[in-house]
Amino acid sequence: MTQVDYSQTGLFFPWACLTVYQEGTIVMALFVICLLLLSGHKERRALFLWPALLLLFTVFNPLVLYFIFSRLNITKMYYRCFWLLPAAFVIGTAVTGFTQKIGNRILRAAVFAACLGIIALTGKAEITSASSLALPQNVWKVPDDLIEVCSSIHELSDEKNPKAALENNYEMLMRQYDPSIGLSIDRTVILYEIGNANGTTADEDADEGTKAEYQAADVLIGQKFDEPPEVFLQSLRTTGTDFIVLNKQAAANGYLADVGLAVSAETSESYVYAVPSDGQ
Amino acid sequence: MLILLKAALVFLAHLAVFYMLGWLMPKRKPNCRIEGEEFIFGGLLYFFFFEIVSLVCIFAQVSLTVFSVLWSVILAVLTAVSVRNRMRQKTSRELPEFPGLEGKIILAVLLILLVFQCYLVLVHQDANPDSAFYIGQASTDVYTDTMALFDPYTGLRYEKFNVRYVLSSFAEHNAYVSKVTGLPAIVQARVVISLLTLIASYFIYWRTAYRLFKRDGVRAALTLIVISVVNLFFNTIFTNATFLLNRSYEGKAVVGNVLIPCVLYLCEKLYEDPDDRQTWIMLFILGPAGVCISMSSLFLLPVAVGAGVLPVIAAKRKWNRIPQYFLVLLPCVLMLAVYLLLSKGILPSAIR
Repeated sequence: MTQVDYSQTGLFFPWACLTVYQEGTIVMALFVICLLLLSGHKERRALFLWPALLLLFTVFNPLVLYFIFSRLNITKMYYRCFWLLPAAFVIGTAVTGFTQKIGNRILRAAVFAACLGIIALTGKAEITSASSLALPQNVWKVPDDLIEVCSSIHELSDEKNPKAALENNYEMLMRQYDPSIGLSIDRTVILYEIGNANGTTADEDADEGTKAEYQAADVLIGQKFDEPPEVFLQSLRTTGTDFIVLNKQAAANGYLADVGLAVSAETSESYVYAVPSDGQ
Repeated sequence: MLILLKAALVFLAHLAVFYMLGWLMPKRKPNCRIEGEEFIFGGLLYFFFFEIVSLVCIFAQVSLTVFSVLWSVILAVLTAVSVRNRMRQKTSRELPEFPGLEGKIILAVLLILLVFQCYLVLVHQDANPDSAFYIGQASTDVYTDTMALFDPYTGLRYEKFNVRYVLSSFAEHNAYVSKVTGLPAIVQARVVISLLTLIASYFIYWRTAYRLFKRDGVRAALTLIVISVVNLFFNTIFTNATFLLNRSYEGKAVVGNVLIPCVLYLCEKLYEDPDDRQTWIMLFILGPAGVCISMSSLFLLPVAVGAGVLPVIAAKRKWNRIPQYFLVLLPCVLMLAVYLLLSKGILPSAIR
């Protein structure tokens, strides 16, 4: 979990991760309560309680983390350990077992509904807006504009496999939809520019190609327009960028105009710039 | 529309293949109850064999076309054997009951929640950075007619295998399906696999709850209703619920929502009968099948199996099953060893 720095939290790392993991919801607390409710039954103890305790003394043990996990450098993926706890199933089993003991049908339904209400009211909803329910624009589940961009690039290009530099979302989706178009900026560079913790900055001894990717991304993604035009244009040549695609609202459009790049094609939402092969 | 229709057929084909491979389950007693385990066993068996065959082909650097032909032949043989096996078995089926109006209402609520979640999964869109790898790998493999030889991010050919992911060939499964059916890899992943993951997850929860509540359909349905609500309201960035509803095409989502619950299911079976050979076989093939789906399984599944199986062995005093426990861990241990040898450069990973 990149939000939790092991070197700062030390032995409190599991607790810090749990706090980030549940983001204010109480599902894990409900899990513990339900676990204790189920512990009176021998089979449920064997299936739920003892495994949870085993995990508590191993995977969630701060000392184990200190001696093993931190050395394996897998603390970023620690959140997946919480998946080992069958929280939803235990809560479901406990609530069902508890409510089914109530004789009165109406009371039984009311208590069951109340339990669901507690989970819902204390949780973080999957559906936060109507847009979550909207149908995709197409069967590939990518923006229609991306499809137009791909068509434009192929129309403009003589190459079978042109290379393009795009903004974040399109960069991530492009090769899923159209793998014939190469990307001149690597994913980790993009992630670094947008401030994603999985991105990495360039090493001092990185090769020229890698440095050029960061230079190009600084402008196109990071919107750092103090880069000298010749440096930016050279970075396009070094990375072999044939096309640049920017949203029409992107501030970098102004910079590209200033360095002499003209719009070669226009889609519903994007400008496509063909980078001259001589870099001018 | 044609693509959607093809996606629907591919989805049904997945179910059919898993179901038929499930007939390869070890011989059961005559007229025993079949409890829908064919899907679970068949799915695990599919990815178990797929992992072995695909890894050989990846490291041999054969083309996707050659692999597709080879795997299709193997699949056809396995299916033929399983059909022959099925014809020799006499079994009875049991359908869950939902008595009275209350039972019918509970079933209806559950079905509405499940259909709603299917809808969420089908309409969900994202530009997740991880999808750029997992789906991009499949698309790239189809385009280049190779297997894991090209960088999905840039389209450039690797100089060495991507050791961090090479042992997990889930993307190759999507590439295979795309190659054979013509369904775009992005649709195979974002539509077919997403829906399969959700359905498989709830199916395993259903089987576990149904057995736990002694074949009481109403209680099992109530449990799944609670699980559905938890999944719909536990949407933080890291939870398995988030992965189930937002990133269900990823191998990690399958691990957190299908494979780990499958361990619980198998432990529940083991509690009922610690000597059941079929359960131990499923635990054995679970490891490689899991690694095929996601590298996270290298660590998570052995831990899950250990945490689940050891308490059952202790509770039933079946200490003579300890050797079997170590045996089921062996595949993951071996794969972990291969991964470490590749990472350290002791095993070659260069691409010719």
